[in-house]
Amino acid sequence: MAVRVTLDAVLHDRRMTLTDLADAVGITLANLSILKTGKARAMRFSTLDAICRALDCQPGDILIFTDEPGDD
Amino acid sequence: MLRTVRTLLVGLNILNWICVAAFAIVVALLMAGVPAIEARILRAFPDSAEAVSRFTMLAMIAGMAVGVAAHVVFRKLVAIVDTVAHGAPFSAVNADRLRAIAWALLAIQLLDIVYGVSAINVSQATGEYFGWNPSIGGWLAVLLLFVLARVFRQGADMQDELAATV
Repeated sequence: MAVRVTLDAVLHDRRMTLTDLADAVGITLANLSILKTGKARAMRFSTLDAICRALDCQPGDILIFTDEPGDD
Repeated sequence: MLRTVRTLLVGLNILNWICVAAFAIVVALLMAGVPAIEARILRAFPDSAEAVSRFTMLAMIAGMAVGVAAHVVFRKLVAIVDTVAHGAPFSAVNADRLRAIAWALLAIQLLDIVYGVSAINVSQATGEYFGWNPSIGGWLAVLLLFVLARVFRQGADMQDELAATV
């Protein structure tokens, strides 16, 4: 997909682990892992809201659009 | 509740196969030309014993074929009930199962027509009414199941989509 999740980089900047984020936003580690690895097909606004609050960032910081050849 | 339904379906399938076995025995006896049976048919229908014998044979063979189709219906229903018990009924597999049930019911309806035509013919030949009524409900069930199979497939796609939503 052309939209990529850059959660890993933001977590690294914030010196947070995925487990810390899972605890902070109340989303299971399994679901966050699906999101981080780009396996998620859709994302709820409520999830985006919770992550942006926990990481003090904008949606554009964790989601980027890359129109690369071969993308779905 | 689900366990009761499952047990009921398994029990009905066993009864179904007992009926198929009984039909097979009748067919075998008719084909073997057992004198006692032939004499009994001849006594009851002196002018049209052959037509009655042929009708009985056809009805039994149709009954056996219905038994095979009914087996498909029961097996697939049991499998669907099992997925409901496991909390995941909306799957592509169940959509396929429902479609298989729809095809099996269609086969039963077609066999019912074959039986009906034979019953009308033998009724005319003997002057006695060999009962048959077209099953409107059965045809509606076939349509309903084909539609339901499509609905299930869409439901399965939505379930997959939901599972990949974070």
